[in-house]
Amino acid sequence: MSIGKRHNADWASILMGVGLGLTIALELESITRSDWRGVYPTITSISRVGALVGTYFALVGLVFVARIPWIEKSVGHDRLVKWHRKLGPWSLYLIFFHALLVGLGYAGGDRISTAVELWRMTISYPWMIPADVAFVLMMLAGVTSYKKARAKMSYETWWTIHLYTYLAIALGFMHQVLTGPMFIGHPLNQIYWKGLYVAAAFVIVWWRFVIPTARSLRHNLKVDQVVVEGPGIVSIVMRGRQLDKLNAQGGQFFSWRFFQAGHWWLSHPYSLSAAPQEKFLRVTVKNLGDHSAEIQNLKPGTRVFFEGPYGTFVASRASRGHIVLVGGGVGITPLRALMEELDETKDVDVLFRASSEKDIIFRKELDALADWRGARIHYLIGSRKDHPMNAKYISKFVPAFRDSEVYVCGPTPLVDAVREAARSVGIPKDRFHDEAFEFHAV
Amino acid sequence: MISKRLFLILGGTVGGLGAVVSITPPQFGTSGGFGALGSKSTSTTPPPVASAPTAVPANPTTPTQPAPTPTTKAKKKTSTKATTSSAAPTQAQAPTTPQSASVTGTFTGNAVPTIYGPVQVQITVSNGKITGATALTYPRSSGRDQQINSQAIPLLIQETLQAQSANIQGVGGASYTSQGWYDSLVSALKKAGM
Repeated sequence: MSIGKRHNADWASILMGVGLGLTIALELESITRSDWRGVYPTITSISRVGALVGTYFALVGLVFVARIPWIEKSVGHDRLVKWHRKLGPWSLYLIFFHALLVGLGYAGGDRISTAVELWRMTISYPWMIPADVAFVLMMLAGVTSYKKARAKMSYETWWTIHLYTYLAIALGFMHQVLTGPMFIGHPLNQIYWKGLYVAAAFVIVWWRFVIPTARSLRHNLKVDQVVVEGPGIVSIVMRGRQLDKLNAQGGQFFSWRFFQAGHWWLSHPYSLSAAPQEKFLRVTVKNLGDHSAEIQNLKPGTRVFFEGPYGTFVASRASRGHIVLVGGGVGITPLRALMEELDETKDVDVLFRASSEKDIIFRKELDALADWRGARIHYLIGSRKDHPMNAKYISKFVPAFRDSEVYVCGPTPLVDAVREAARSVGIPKDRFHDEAFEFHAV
Repeated sequence: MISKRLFLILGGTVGGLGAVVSITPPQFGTSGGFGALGSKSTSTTPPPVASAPTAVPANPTTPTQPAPTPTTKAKKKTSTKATTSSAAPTQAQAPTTPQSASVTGTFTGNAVPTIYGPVQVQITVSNGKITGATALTYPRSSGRDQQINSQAIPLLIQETLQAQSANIQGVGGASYTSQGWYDSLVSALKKAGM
């Protein structure tokens, strides 16, 4: 990460803060004495601040994952997804409390029950029914994203429900500007709020739809070959034109959408498992039980729609002469691509951990690459207990560990273990690069 | 790293908020701010709505009467904000001056739209004196509107009769109805030539 890029992220933080300040100012500027005299009006006013900030967070959360190139490059996609996940719940809590408190505040003034008041509001104020629908959709997305709930459903179900948050955010808009006291008779406030919505809509449509569509058409990518690499692991080789113009690097990933019945509506995030070529791209996928199982049934010639490339897990970030690549299971795939692209002056050690011999994929390719560039590959076969990925254990294979640049890709526990190992020997954060599987799923 | 970003975000928040607040100070109470609130002891009718500066010439026939000067500094708000108020206490206590003594009759103001529905005022004038005021229409579509306006309308009537002009304070908690009442009252007074 260069200095300039880091500044980008700082500017983005400041911008986000200013937006938050302006959003809170909407309420502060429009508040009148009657809004804070008495308990119930105060509750109503607080709920409005919650609604504004919650909606702002929802919009920012969408922008985080809108694939805006300069933010992707400076922050990294996995970190953006992390932020998206941190912000999302807050947005939902605030909007939840808005609905509850505004009902309570009004009900207190009218001296009726909150439930009756909520019903009255729904039927008597404009655009309240869409707002109620939006509320339900948002809460559904929140509940299904809760770890325990998500573990019980397929990725497809979760993702479909999650998509409806776009609709929810749109449906909630009209009741805000038509009934919100901070907007009625406050044209400047309206301009700001509408501007915020328009800007968010624009970046999402542009970078998640227009640009990917244009690129997919231009590069005319189609499935060329499906190759079985190991038990439940297949590679998909795709053919297109002028793929070098994508400026993709080994270790990056794309969101792939295969235009075949049962696939087209869902996109999958997979890393390149070989350095990109002018006419070919390759990804390697492990059958995780659900949709990825059907990947091996893809027919050659299937058109591929893609978004990307994304990710900062690339060879060009290496600043040290000695590189340690740590892969767990199918996590070896982006490392395999990196091995091709790390320049020849680099000294490379690869630690490949897999639970059994047959899970070692790409053995021939890896050995050939190691031979060609003089890298050392350490196959660590067995359970996690046999191969504790702490600093001591890693140093047994790589004595120069503390002076290395570290790349790790695999299941989250492995990534966490290696991060801790790197930290314990004093490797600074900017020499540690990770790609955990779970971060791909947005 | 994280704490630095958090710091930047918070800094931006304070900056954004501070910029807006310093350009257009919030109007928590009356335009006189908290000082004015303190000086006024009647708490039942705090005046979030009062005569907007443009509305003063209720009496074009007597130009000698000093028109209260608008005190609101934020220019963008004077015409657009229902909640903006000018120096309400002084206006409210302004002496009722004799109007054109000959005017007698019933005058209906314009129906003024507010977000919750239109407000239309009818006044009864006898020898230049406002003897009665009613709301022909006011928002009552929701329970909230009914509850608020059933309290606000009598107070607005009372204020109007006391002020004998459009120099009313408005009713706290019913800003929109008060603004509608005020605008409609002004048009009714105009029709009466007062």
